[in-house]
Amino acid sequence: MFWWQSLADFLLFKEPQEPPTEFVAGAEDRQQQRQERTEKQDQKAGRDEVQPDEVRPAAQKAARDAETRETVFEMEASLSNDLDQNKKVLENVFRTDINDDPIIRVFTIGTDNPVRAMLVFYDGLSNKTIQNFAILQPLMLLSGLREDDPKRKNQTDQKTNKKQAEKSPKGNSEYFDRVKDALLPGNQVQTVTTYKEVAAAVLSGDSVLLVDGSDRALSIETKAWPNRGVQRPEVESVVRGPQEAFTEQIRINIALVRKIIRKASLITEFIKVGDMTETQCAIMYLDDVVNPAIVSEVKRRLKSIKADYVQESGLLENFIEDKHYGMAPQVLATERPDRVAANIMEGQVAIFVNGNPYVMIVPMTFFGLIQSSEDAYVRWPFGSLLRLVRWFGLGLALFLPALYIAVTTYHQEFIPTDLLLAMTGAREKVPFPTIIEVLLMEVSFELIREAGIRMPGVVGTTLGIIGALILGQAAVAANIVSPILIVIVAVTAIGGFTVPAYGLGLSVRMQRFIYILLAAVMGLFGIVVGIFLHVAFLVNLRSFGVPYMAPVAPTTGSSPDYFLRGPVWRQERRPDYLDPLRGRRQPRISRGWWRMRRKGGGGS
Amino acid sequence: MRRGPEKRALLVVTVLLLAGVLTGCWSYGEPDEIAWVQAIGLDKGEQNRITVTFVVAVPKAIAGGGGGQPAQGGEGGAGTFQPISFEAETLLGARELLNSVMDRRVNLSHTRWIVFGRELAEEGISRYLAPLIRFREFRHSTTVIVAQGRAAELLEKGQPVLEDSASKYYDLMARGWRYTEFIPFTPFHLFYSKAKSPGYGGGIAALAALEKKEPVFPNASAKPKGVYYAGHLPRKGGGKIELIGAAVFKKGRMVGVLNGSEVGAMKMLSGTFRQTVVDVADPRSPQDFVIVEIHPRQPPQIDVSLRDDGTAEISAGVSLEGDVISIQSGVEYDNPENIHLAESLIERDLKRKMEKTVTKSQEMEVDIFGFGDHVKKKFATWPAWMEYNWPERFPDAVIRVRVDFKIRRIGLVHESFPVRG
Repeated sequence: MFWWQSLADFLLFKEPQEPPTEFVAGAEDRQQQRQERTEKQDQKAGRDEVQPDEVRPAAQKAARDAETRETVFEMEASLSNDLDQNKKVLENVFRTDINDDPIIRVFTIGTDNPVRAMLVFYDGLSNKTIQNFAILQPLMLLSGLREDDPKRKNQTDQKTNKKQAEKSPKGNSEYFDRVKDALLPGNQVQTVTTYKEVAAAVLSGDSVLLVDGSDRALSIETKAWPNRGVQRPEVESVVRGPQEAFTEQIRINIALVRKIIRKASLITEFIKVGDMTETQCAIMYLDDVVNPAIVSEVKRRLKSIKADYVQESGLLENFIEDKHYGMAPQVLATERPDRVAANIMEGQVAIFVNGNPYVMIVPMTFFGLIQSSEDAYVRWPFGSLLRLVRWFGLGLALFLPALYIAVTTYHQEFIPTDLLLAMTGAREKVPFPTIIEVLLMEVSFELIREAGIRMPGVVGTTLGIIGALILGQAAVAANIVSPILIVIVAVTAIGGFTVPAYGLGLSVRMQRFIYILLAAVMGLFGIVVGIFLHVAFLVNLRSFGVPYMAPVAPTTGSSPDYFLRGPVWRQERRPDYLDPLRGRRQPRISRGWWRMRRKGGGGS
Repeated sequence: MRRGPEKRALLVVTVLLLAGVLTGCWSYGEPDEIAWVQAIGLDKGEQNRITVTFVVAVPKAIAGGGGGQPAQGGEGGAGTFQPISFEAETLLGARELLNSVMDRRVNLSHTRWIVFGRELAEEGISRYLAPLIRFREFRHSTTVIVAQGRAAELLEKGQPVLEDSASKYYDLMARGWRYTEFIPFTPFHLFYSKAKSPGYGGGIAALAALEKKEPVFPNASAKPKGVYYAGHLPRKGGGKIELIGAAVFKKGRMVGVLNGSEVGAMKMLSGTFRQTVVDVADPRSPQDFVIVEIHPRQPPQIDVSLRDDGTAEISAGVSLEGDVISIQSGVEYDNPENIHLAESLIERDLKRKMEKTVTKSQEMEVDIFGFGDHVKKKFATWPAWMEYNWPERFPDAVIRVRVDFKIRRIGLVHESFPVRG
């Protein structure tokens, strides 16, 4: 259906309209809404006078708390000087009365002039060891040691300090700076000033230190989310090449790429995406290679997203892709750090999403989706062969059942007579027309495939038996389908598995049915019509401003690495369609040992 | 749908889907709902103008038989094919009649042979053949064959021996032109274009016949293998159909027959020759033979010049090469000094055969070699060529044949030794 909608858009020369952006309405509207809501609540409360009196104070308190929370977040209220006031607000924010995860630890900093402080963190998200030995211990036990140092003592006069704190409206900000600069040995410490920031830091696993008398707080890096280690890639496995895959931890993922590209110009920019729960995303690119327009477009799209839940790269893909009816994936999701590194080196941008082992690469072209990192890791003739096999597999997956229908029911003169008679003989007892037969088998196969992914692993063997035996043999024996069709469906399925990008594989699965229907209605002519529309659609598509079928349509310069795989020493240029800052990847003669026999003979 | 563009998109999708419905699956046909005709036979009619015989495949016997039932065509047996004859005015009219007999829709697109009975062929076949070129279902690669007797009989009794499928049998039989000289290359499109072209004025069809029961030769004198033609092959056993020789057509009428070696000579001169085995009596030991396998070295070189009176002088150069595969006499033809002796022996033999064939074709007044195509080059305009009237001039043309034969390999034996004891 989406295919057709986009087709229709294309035919009407219309860009699909973006949905109205309800979320960018001004804050005034929101305030007004809230006012209306509270008014309604009041009216409601007025009506509910029959309720027992003892419930009323609790309800009133809850309403008040909720309002405070809203104020704290929406107005981005600043922290208070008063530790007790801060504690009260934060207890309210984290609902400590009913929520057991947030911990608010009040203690005293053991300087000469003890000051009360408070550490806020979420149990389980943060690292206990760091908290105990790098925050609490230095502050409570070791902070006094520095005071004995005569040099330090001259610098700080505690009494004046305290007096200043009482006088100054900023509170004892010098003391706060001292805690930050001299007393806390944490490796990453940030100053935060609002309750909202405190909450965000605590929720991401950091510990926040609030000091009495200061309206600033310290967010100390203590993240310790449970996470999986680096494992082998499960979807994009290769024979020759690195066997590492991304994990759910964005920091680890970034480190995996940085491990490959050790360049100071490799930039990681963190971007918070989303509205209700902020998802931590990062984009990664080579500052001296990438086209700045692509980076700013990626950032613009990511920052503009206002949504409830984009915790997954697949969800994010939905938000940033160009054509949402599109049947072709416009970003590449990969779990291989080496692939991300190679694409970044070409001038593309990688988008990391925290909590997801798939990293998206944009802009992506059709030819990029057909490639596998293994193509580059084997010698080039074999890399080209692998790619040819994959193109052939793609063709089979897309067209084979449709061609079978078209040829057997419209153009029988195509078939060698003996094969035709064999097929006819095999079909004699099958009661269904070919199209029903094909749909039956294709749907069964889709069922098997879907079941194979969803079913619990422990019952996996059952599926194999059912699939192979029931559908393969028994269906033929029961004269439901002809044996040649089993071959067709099997070859189609195998062809589909050669498509390396999962998103592209899914779209091929769906488009196959469109071609089947076209072939059933109009034979080969229908398939040709389908191909015409399909190609028109693909050529019309863009991924972050880059034509989807580049470098073929439009024809742009490129290294020999799109349809087939050329030798790596001939990959001299970055893709022209990305318009990178540095077009040349390696000099014309990249093999220094190569002795040129005649002028211009270096490349052959 | 809520918004404007999507509404329009829905409209477009609907229109496209409806357009699909409009096609109505026209010409959709399940292969098991179609009766596949494998061969067509045409004879002079008994109760109408012509008798048309269709050989319809029985797919279940081919695919499901699995060796259980051997092919049993003929009298309605459960074989792999079913011959049906109709009396009708035209071939395609008979196809319509066939639809009233067969439960499946008749389709001619897999026809392998179109066979004419000799009687009908001599009467003239152009009125049946030429209209077929227009019909989409009729395959232009169908082989044109003339049966010595009645085509109906040939198709009914001609059961495949090695094959389950009659169409494969027909196909492979006709494919013999690639590796033997006795079978001409006569696909329908070639036959048709030759028959209508003023450069030929005639055509040839492969000659087929059923095995003859009685002896065809009265004595056991030595006869070259090429003198035979279909229906006169002295043999026992094997399939019923024999395919050797050619029927010569002039203006759509069969005017004569070529035997096996004449077909070979014709193919060498016209360029459709691929391979054959030639056995030549050894002049030094007349009871023995030198046997060579020959291939064309290059296409025949035809040079034409016109005399003042318009008579064409044609010089046809045939270049061949080959391997010695047997020397019965034990003469050392494999010795490099003697090789030319064997070569000239073969050259003489082939030249004699070709000259005889040329003479025969001039007697029949049919240019079966396509020399007309080369004579045509001498005329600047089409009207001049038409005025020249090649079919009339062909019998008077002076045709010289040159044969150049080279032996390339002498087989597995390096030096011959006589067999002692």
